[in-house]
Amino acid sequence: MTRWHGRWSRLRDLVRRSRVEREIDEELTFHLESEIESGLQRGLTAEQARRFAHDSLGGTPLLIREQIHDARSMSLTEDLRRDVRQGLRLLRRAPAITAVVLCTLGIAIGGAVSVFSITDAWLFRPLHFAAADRLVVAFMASAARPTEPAVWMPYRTYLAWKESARSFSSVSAAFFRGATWRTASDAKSLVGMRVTPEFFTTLGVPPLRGRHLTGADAQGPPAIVLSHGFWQREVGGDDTVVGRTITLSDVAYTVVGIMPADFDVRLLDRPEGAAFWTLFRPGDPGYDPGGMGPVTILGRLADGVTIEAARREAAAIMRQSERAYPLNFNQPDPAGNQFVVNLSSLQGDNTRTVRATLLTVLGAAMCLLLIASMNVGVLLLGQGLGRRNEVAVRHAIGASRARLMRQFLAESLVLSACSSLIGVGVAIAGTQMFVAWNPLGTLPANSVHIDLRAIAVATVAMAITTIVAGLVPAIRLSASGMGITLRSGEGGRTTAPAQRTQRAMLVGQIAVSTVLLVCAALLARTVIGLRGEPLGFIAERMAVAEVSLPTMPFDSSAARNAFYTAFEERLLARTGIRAVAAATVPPLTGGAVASVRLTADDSLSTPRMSAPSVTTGYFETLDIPLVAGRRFDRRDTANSAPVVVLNDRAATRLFGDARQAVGRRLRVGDDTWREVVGVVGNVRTTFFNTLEWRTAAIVYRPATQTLSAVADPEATQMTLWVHIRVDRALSIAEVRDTATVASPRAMVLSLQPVPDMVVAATRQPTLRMTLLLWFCGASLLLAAIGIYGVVAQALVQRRREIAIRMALGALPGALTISLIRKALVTGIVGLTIGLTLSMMLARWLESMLYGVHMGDAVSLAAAGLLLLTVTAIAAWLPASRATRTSSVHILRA
Amino acid sequence: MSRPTDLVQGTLDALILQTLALEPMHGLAVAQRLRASSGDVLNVSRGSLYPALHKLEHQGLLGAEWRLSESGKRAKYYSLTRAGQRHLAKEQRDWQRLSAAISMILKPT
Repeated sequence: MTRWHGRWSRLRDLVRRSRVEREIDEELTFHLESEIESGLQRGLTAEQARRFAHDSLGGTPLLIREQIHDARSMSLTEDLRRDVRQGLRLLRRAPAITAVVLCTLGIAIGGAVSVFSITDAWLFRPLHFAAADRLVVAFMASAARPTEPAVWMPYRTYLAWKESARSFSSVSAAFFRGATWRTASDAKSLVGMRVTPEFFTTLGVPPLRGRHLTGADAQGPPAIVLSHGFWQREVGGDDTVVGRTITLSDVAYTVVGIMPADFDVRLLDRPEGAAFWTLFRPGDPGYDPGGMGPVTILGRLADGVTIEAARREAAAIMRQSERAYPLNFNQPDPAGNQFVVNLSSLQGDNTRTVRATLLTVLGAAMCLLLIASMNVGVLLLGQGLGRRNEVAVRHAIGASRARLMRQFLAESLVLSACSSLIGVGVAIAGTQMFVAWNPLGTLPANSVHIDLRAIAVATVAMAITTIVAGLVPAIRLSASGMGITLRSGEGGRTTAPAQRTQRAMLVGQIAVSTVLLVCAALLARTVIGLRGEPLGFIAERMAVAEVSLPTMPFDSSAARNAFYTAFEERLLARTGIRAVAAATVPPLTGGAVASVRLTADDSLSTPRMSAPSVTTGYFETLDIPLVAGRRFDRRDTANSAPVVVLNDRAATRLFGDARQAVGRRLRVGDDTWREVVGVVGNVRTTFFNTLEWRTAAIVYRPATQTLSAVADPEATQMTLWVHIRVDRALSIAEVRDTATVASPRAMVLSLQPVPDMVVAATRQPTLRMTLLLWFCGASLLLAAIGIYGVVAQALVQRRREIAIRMALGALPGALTISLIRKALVTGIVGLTIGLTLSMMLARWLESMLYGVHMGDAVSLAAAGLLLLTVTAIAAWLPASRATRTSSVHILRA
Repeated sequence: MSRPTDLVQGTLDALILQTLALEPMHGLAVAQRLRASSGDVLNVSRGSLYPALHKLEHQGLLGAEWRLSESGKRAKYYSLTRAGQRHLAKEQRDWQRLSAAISMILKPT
């Protein structure tokens, strides 16, 4: 009896059980023990008594317990609870695989959900306007790139469309305007908009306080509508501000209204919405009938009109109306550039810069999700097949097939439920990190929040994967003869079809990883190319200060020069400052363009070139080399003969050759004839939203002769970009103090290191590369785990065979090599498929590349080599360990 | 140990309920009572008894509590609940109808 009891309790302790199970055991034990005792009392031998008791129970306790479980599980919830508990227990039994699966799925689900949520806020969720998809924005694009805005629309086109376009129910025009907001201690630069009175009605948003701007405001005293952000931050959210006046750039405006917080209108990828709105006023140069002042035209499409139909009608009206003017905007320039109307949705217009990055990352996140699910499939499949013995035993003691399937199902559900929970956590953390990190440099107008649909989709996809991967072995195992498995005592070898499925999933995983790797390699080469290209000037140890000079008192070129001379002198007097020079444009920017004419004839068909003013010493300070002639020097004063310096590109375009240019004469936008005194090297510039360095044609004018901006008709201020070469850290407070000494009216708005500006110019491609590299790392890790897992599982299942072969004299090295070779074959098949897939993506990716092509051998070879190396290492690790184990040890076990 | 193949599931349930209608008892006692009352004819309890007890408990027809048995060990005592009594009454009516019908069919002419 004690022996039996001991065995029984050992059996009982084998697994930890819940209260219900303990009670069942106790009940059955009571039955057995009572029957044994009564048997012994009746004079039976211990063995007879045991047999009698057993007989009375009607089966082994294990079998009865199974049957009790089955009988009890009439209610679904009870059933599920028990299976889930069992599932959790089994997951605990293989902690390594469980941990890998949970982390993999959790991170993949979380990553995909957060990336989707961010992309959704930017690209998919409509903006906060009524029928936001009907709002369109018009620019002029070059015929060569009709989808990329190139220049602003002329104001008169807005008037023409307003008069005759049927495609729009409402049309308005808007243009940026910068303004300086001065507080007691500080000054900051704000970006607002000048708009036409229909602007707010076109967008269809009522004001939060006060009223919109109306046509009458254009005639009366200057009126302004504030954004919610401006109102809160700068005016303290004070309700009484409506009706009062505020001063922007030294002009007093009456505040007539405040817009709500979600009224966020951006143009051309501005990182944030406008801070305020004022009206175009009659008499603003360029904004009268026939005026060519730059605007964008914001329209609301009439019902049933598509963007393309509207574009065609609008373009036709523009062609017609332009005929009335001598300077026809639709005429091609001498370089053959023709402008066409570009119409895009407001949301599309706001997301040009970030769209490619977001879609790339979304694609990468989806790839990772795919890889993760295949990875989990591989691992679960292998684990399930490795459980043949357990299944066979349970089947033999009476567990029905349905019962086993139910349990496998419960396990899979537990797995996917746990990983989804982790995924939601990762997604919440991920989106919050994204908002805090703000890698795009701008946040969407829509709020970023976790998308429930995305969670649902990801969770269901994962559940399907885990269920299929969990059930396939259950079906296979319970269908095949159980006795054979048990008798063979070998744990059974993985069946061939299952092995094929596993291998196919591995190949898929490697193929998708290849796509990611190739993309990452190409983007990395792009960034290296962008970073490595010489800029044409020295950016190191240079900072640039943005100094705003209000019209009062800086109303003339002479007044501005006087300020600058004083400022420069004081800066140079400080220690560590090597050189100072100013320009009307910041680094990496060509600046506003002007028509450059070699004749006295005024026609529009002349080359338009950037025409900044620069101070004497500008080329020396930036280290821009001289190609021919001379730089600006002391000879160039306000009273000397007007001169210009061209860059190489401008000289070549105008005169064919740099040396030919020196001594020639030209006009820049006005009637003054200027002599070309020198030619300098080209500098790299960027252009809005294009991934490439450009070489703009630039005409430099000496600041001593013209220190003014070219194209700000309503300029109440001028911005001077003061380039400072320093040996040490420079603070904005120091620059501000120095400027205040030179003139208390000058305002230093910002101070930026030029190297940072170079980095910012390559921000999107760098970000794409960085994020993709992370995804690649994750996918490689998963692929490695998958390969390692498959090889390790195969080795466990084949350990007797391997041991026998080794005992018979097979060399461990040869065995390892054969295992690695097998893994490499899988790797090469996956690689081939992956490279083919990458080529199919070529057209889409090509637009994000610079200086490198899809077929770039270095990138492809690097991706392939890295992948195969990882494959080989992942296979070698378990293989070498297995073949080192003593065969005798395994065979005896 | 051959299973009584001709015994329908419902009959075992009814027999258990009938047995427990007298007094609460533990599984072993139910088994012994069934063995004694039906002899070799209805040797049903083996193997099916405990699953049936648990099912009936789960369905709410039986209640259960742990008590000390006559031998001094803890045992699980089953008793009929109100629902169980109703169910038994219904079973008895059904059985009487069924057996009356069967005996009429099988009555030698």
